[in-house]
Amino acid sequence: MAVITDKKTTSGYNVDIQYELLKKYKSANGWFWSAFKRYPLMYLFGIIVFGASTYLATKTTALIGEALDYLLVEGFSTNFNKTIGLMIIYVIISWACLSSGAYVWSIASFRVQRDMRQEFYEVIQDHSMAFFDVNDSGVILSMGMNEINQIRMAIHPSIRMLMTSIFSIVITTVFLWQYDFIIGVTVAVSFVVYLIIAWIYASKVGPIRRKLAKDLADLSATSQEMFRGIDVVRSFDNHNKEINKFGYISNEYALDMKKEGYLSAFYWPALITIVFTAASFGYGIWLVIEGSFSIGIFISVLALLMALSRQNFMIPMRLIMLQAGLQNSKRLWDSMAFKDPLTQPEKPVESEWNKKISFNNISFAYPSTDKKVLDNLSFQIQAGARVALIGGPGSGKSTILKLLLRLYDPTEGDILINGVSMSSMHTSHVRSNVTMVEQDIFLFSDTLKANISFAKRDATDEEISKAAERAQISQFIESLPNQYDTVIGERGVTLSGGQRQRVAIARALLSNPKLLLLDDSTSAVDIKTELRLRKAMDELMKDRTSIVVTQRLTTLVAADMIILMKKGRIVDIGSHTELLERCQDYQFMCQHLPITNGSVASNDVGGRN
Amino acid sequence: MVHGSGRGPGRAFDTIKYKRARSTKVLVSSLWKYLKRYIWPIIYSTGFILLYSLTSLVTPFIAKLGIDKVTGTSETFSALIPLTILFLALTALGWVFHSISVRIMSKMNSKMLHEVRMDLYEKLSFSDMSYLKNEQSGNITARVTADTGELATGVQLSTSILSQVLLIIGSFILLVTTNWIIALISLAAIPVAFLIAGVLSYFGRRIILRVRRAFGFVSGKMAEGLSGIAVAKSFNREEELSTELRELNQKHYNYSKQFGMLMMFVMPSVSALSYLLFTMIVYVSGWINKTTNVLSLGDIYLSVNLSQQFLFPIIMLAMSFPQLESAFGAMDRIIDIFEAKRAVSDVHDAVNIQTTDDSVHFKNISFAYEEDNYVLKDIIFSVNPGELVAVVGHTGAGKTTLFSSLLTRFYDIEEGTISIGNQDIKSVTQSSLRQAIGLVTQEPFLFTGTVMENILYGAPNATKEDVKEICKKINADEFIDALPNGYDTLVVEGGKKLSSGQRQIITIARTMLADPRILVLDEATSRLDAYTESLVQAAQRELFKERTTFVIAHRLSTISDAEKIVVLDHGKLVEIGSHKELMDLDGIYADLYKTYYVHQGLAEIDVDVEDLEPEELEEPAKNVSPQMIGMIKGDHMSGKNESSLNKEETRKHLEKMSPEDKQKFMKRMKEQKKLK
Repeated sequence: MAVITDKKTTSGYNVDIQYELLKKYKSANGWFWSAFKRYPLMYLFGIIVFGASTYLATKTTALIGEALDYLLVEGFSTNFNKTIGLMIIYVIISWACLSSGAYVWSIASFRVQRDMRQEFYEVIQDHSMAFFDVNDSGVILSMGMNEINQIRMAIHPSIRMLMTSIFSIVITTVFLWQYDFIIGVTVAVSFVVYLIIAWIYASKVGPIRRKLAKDLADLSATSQEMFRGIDVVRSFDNHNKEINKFGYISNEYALDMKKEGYLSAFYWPALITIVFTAASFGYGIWLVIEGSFSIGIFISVLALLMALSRQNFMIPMRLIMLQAGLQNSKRLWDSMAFKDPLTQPEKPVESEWNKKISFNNISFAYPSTDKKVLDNLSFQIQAGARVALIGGPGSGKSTILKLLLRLYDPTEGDILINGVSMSSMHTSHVRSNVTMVEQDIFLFSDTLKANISFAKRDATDEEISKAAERAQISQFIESLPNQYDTVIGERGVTLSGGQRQRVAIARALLSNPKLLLLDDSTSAVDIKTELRLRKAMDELMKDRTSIVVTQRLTTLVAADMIILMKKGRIVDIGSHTELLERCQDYQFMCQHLPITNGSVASNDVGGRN
Repeated sequence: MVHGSGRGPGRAFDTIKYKRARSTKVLVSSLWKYLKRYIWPIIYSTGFILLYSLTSLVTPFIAKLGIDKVTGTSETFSALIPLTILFLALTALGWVFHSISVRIMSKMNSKMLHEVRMDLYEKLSFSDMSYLKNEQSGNITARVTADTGELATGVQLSTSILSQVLLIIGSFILLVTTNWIIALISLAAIPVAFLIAGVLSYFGRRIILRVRRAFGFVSGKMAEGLSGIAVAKSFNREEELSTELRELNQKHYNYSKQFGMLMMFVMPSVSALSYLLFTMIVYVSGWINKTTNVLSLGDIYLSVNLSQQFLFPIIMLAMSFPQLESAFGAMDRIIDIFEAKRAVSDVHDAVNIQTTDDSVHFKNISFAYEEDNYVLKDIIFSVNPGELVAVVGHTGAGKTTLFSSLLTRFYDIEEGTISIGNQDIKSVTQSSLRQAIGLVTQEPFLFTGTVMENILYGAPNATKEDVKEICKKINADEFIDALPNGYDTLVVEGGKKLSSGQRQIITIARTMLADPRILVLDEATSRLDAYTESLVQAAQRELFKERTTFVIAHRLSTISDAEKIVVLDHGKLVEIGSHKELMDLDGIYADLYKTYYVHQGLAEIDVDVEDLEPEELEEPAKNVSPQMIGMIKGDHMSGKNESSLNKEETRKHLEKMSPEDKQKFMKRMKEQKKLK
């Protein structure tokens, strides 16, 4: 099993999974075929018993002629009975071989599927946010689930059956060779030609199949979107637009389905087998008349050829599956080999996070975009300071928080923590010292306990309830029938925004960071939520450096330092009083905060100008 | 449940035995509606399949003739050349017939699938709101994609079933004419074949169900890991998540092993059966020949060949049945949807809504989503054209129902009427009604497409300049400009890269661009940050000056602008009037105002958290009766919080404040007193 993540490097950090993987398998093909290297004995056993079983099955078919020759010459003789007995024994052994082989082969393949899936997830998970920003998580999920399944299907049953087919072709050819040289050679040559043509054919059908799968996924997505947003569709009276959108894709699907149907209708490689079976029929008759074939042999030849042409229908299917598997492993490999702009330093250093933090000429554009969302920022945060970030939407506040978590590296400039550049630190060092409470809280659909102790899995119940208490959520949790074991999310209960926020605060409290990042842009709706939240936040900010994106006047007033941002630049830095004195943007902003809102005291700030 | 909801999650259908509501006859006859449009393709296709089956039966017979002829050895080779050519011609012809039939069928089938899908989608998109709301969007989608697909597979399958049945019957007749004893032996293989297929479907169904469930768990875990990736990263939790996935992955593997076991039994057994069958036939032929000597070698060859041709279709047939059955199940569910009556439909003489009078009148409205669970009771009030109406009340008071669901006629009212101007909304076309009303819902919903396309959604004829202008007005342009590609930034996965506030501001721009006469804002700015909200609201005041507007409010600033405030409580209209009137009344509104709204943004509040009444889970109001909400919430707005404003507390409070805050606070308090 893939347990790469359990390994540690000498510096105590997890090994670079991606690097290990790329080194080990080298290419998409290397990864795909590594399946057989992972469980070599099982696959070897499979290959041997499949060979045996195919041999015995072919032999059984060939024995028909022998039996009939005995029957013709000797009648219902001992030899005839012996041959029949032999055939039965062969069938039974062949059955046993095929069964055990199929079982072992399938188990090995399910293992490969499990391991590859795990590998894929672990590598992808290790990519930085640069990857997740540009890749749809639905697509990644479908890669990890369905496409891995298809890779497995390429190995089992596809490769297994192709291998059996090739075994039968080879063994049949050898048998026919023994009867007659010309028939043997003809069969060998035409089957090689057949396989090539079948491969070409499969390469034609394969893309259409994949297109069909894509069409179906589009169809689902379109339909799902429309039904999820039915209120919006209805309130804009846009049914027809949606139906047309769906109709377009549905029609596309129908066309591709027709195309696929047409292609599979005329499976022309089958003509090759038809022609040479007929030719062998004629040639065989001639040989019998000539006297070089007994009738029994002639019947054997016919029976063997019939058995071969039965492979006809299965070979293209399996080839298509194999091609799909190879193509998927290419796609997965490309995702895994993603060139990450954020890399771990070769010799990671550590720093003290409860010291000074300085931004030196930081500029930042999100990976694969040009737009600078941060433009040449420089400022310093003293140890233990409470910093408030304020600015309109899109001003770059949240981006600053993301840089401090080292979710991204700055495009230009350096962030120094006590003089040490963040890019020379390992991300897990950064993240064990920094915790973020984001604006749109993400909680896992798990128990409250698991969610709170997310950052500290070994936390005791006491620690958890203490954190919940400090986050002002314990009262609520304890009122639930299952208390901390209550499952939340899709399969459980739904929490309100304020409750989610406080669960996240409890989670952050347990992680006990040196630097706290808090995105608190959404304002609470009612007094209860507001109160609880404020108290929870106070608890959270206690005794550590904190950077808060906020519009809460209390927080602004209490902050040691306010950074006012606009379009990725710093407008001004200072305390609440200072900014109120000198900064017009700040004054304007304050005017529009709730305290001074509407009819109530709207002249307050302006009045002091 | 007209639509057959509650039948469990989507794709488990094909493995759970599905109990259908209609007989096969009924299903086939309703499918006939579609099939009869393709009567000629069906006839041609069937004809070619018949011909193909015929060639498949004749070819082995030719081989038999050949063998019989050469057994005598008196023949010359040239006499046998026609036979060889016939053999070649027939097999090739069989291939051609089969191909043509498949081709005709696949053309017809793809066209029919498209038609069924479109009809179904159209039907669904106009269907009852309560059905669409209660059913998961994934389940509905499964009707449109998976069920129709299964139906198409079923139709396709029926042609191959036809050819298989023909082959079985034909082969059997030929076998009987060749030798009845051999025919009987072949017959004995049938129960064995069905046994194998039975084992496959009996155990397979169970095992597949288990494997699928385990697969679902792995998939769920992975999905969650991927959507929560930023959280996992910020807490250094990747390792734990991998471990959790690994455990589920292992479980999935364990079940897959069972599946492997099943496959080990089925496929090899089928092929062993076929080998045993022909061995038996050879043996018995020998035995027959010993006694009677009537069977030629050609006959024996023919028997062996026919027995194979007989066995495989039977196995295929046995395996097709569950698939056919699931196609019928899918058909059944599809018909469910077709037969469901549309809950809200235009009356036959519906007219377009008038364009002169924007007043809205609610007359004696009572409404329940489910029987007798009244969400609204006896609502009466009128709104003048151009008025701004604020609606307040607790969660579950019926605010969203009244304005977002009834005024827009997503649901029909059983009692009472809503009129716009002098027209009952039931007498106008839904299309014109919805063009007149703009709705910004609580949950900001965006479509896949660019930001620009999303804003244009309600006003396809507007230009890009119009969009930019609107966005400038509501201060959305600054943040849209900050997006990687500005207005051309692609919204994916419902806008995962946007914050909910950003999503909301796009939905507001979308509605504003559509320029409706009557506007319903259902907590439309609740997800914006306070600063942006205040800018947006200032813009709204400007933009909607002349329009009748309903604002379901969550913040003080909106209320103070309103000309009329409507207070709903437990589905009843309890107070109505201007802010001043209602404050004078000192009723529910005054209470709400004091406890909820007035505190927002207050610099500091000195209520002890312990003094607050415990919170509860948010209940979706729809499924809970007002009585129940009453029970859950208790006497919600008891006087408890008022203590927060008593003089003693205020004094303590002021002592802690900085001078300028104190000044501000005093001013505020004065204002408040004035209002009172």
